[in-house]
Amino acid sequence: MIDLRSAYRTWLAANVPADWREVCAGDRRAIVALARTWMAELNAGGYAGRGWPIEYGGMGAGLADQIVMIEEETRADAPSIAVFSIGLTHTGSTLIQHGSDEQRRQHLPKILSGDVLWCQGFSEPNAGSDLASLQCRALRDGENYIVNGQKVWSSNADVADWCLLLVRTDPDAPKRKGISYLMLDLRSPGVEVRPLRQMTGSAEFSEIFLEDVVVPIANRIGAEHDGWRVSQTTLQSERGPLFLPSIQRLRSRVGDAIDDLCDSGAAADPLVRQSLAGCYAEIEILGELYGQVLADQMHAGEAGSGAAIIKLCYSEVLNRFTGTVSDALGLFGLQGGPQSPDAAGEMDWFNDHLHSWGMTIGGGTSDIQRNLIGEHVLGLPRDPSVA
Amino acid sequence: MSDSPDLGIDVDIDVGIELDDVRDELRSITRRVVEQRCPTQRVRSLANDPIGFDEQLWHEAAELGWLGLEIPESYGGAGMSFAELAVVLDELGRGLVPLPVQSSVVLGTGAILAGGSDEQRTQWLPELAAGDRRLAAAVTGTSGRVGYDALSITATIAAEAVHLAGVAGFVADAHVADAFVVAARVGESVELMLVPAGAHGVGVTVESSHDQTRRLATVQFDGVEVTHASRLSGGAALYDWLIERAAVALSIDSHGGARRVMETTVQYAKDRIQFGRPVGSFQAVKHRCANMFVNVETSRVAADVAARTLPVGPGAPSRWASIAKSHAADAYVAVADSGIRVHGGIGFTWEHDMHLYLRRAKLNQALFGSSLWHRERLAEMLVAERSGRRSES
Repeated sequence: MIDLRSAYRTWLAANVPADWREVCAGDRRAIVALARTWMAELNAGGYAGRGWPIEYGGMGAGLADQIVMIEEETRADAPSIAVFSIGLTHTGSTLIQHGSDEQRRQHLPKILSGDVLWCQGFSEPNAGSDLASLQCRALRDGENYIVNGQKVWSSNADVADWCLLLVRTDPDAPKRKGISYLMLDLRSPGVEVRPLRQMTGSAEFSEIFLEDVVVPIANRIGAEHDGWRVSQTTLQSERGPLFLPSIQRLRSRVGDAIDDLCDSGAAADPLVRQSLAGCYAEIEILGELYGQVLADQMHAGEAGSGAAIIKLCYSEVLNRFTGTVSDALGLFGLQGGPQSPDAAGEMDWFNDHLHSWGMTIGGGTSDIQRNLIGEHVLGLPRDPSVA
Repeated sequence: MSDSPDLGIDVDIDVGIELDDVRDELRSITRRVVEQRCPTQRVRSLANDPIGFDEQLWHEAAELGWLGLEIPESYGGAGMSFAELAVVLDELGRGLVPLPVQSSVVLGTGAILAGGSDEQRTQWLPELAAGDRRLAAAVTGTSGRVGYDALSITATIAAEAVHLAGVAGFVADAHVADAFVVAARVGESVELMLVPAGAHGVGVTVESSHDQTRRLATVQFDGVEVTHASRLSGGAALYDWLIERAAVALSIDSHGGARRVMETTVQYAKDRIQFGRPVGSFQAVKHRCANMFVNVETSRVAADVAARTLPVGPGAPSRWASIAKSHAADAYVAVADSGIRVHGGIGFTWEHDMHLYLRRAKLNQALFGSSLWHRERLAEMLVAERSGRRSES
């Protein structure tokens, strides 16, 4: 049996560009450009599409092997392919589960090769936590849909090529029964993508305005009006160790925090030391808890109810930790300024603290995660007034 | 699977299946015994008992093997590990069971296993496993704080004997101990020894406590003389390790109690109808319950890792002991707080058990290093680690 860890370690040592951090240096477009070439390299090396079946060009790797690969990437300080995560996880698993052969042939290889970057058009100004109330309208016109509406909070839509789109095809049906799942070529006429500057100053997200946009019916995934079920089954399927890079990064940042607090003298204050130690304890516990959630996922073959507690704990401890360090640095912690719209990634503790609120909101707010835990884990009744 | 991941992610699925079965069985037996023999009505009645626990249950515990789980089979024990003892501690915490396990098994037996001579092991272990004799640990100073500098007993080591003078505060189960594991200062360091409760000059005064499931006492050592054969080996390292063991045991107890509070409270939130609907359908209540779940699950993980990684004897300091103690004790208090609030008026009554859990949670928080003390300890380790990193580079 091939030893994946040592094979991948050797491959990474030979292929990770030594200067990629300097080349990217907080510039979002440079990061995306690098991710595209790195994705192509991974594909050429046979390391793309880890969890995908071999017949679709993937590695057919189980969760344990995917974890090994992430660990080796951390060790080798390899570039991130996070901008491809919508394509690799959502588009990939949705097409593999629900797509037609023709759709798979057309789209899957281009995800793995880094040629096509996908974004997600789910949220709308009036459909956030209540996603199923979305109003973006698609009307049948012969072999096409004509789409009108607005999407928001689409990560990397300004640099993406294609978009996963949830649209309303039957406005008279109950809200979850009238949604269809489409694939949208962002170069179609009538599509306007406007970067949305977030509170850190950076513009990682965009709004997407759709005016009489033509989408061929052939680009619908699953049956008409069945898009909600398609999107939900995809979300529940095994999606790999999604939080592992973030949690590993968080663990390594405790060391950075100790350095900064010792260098600034703030660590002399027992309150500072003890607050930081409290964050450290929670971060270490989160790492262990995630290990158990992944182990359970391996046994069960699908992401269970563990996802909600991990999402909740991760975003809340990130918020508390970055705030603790920034506060401890006092006025020095507030020196600096907002990120430029073209910037990305970590900057200083205060900016990272601002950024952490995004984690408490995106992908289901912390309060929505608490609802999920309350209802799906603890079995508490739903609010009867909520449809 | 080509290899197992190594960065803190435990994905090994083959190891320990048999042990898991043993622990599952131990858990179900322990829970059944606790539910039948020590329901909370019994816990309440024992609060007024001068001894404070059920002697008969103590002997049943011995027969069930709970008192000798870590003791080698050659000394009449089960030859297992702290991880199995952890299962029993978890269930005793769940039931608020007032038995002198923390004092006699976690601390007393632990001290002899790790620091006892062959003679001491032969003399004590079989009877400890059988429940025929009990130990208590006089390892904290008058303030109950831990650390060598907080100790208020001094040992003078002479050629013919060791002389002890001073006081130990907040000693659990001193009134039912046959002997004490005493930590005494010797110069800047610390020395541990076994002192018979009947030795001349030993005096026990049981103190009052807001948590009536545990009896704490002040123990006076007034010109006490013991032989050199009473000394335990290990000194400061043994002392630190005993404190860690106590901290881990309390984190496990905290998890057990917190989980019970969560289960009771979630059930109440499903059953209690107000405004024509179960109160658990309101988000304010649901979110309290979800936060309880987060506290309980993170406590489980922390206590579990701490129990699994606790060294079998004095050695490298355990970070997880401090992570688990500070986290689980604080979580227990938070969960008890939520439990009282979700129950509303009924949870504020004497008859309801919520306050029993809150009392025990608060005592767990204060015993064997406060949460702040453990966080300070962690911080010192992190800063020392940084200095190590710096001097390497």
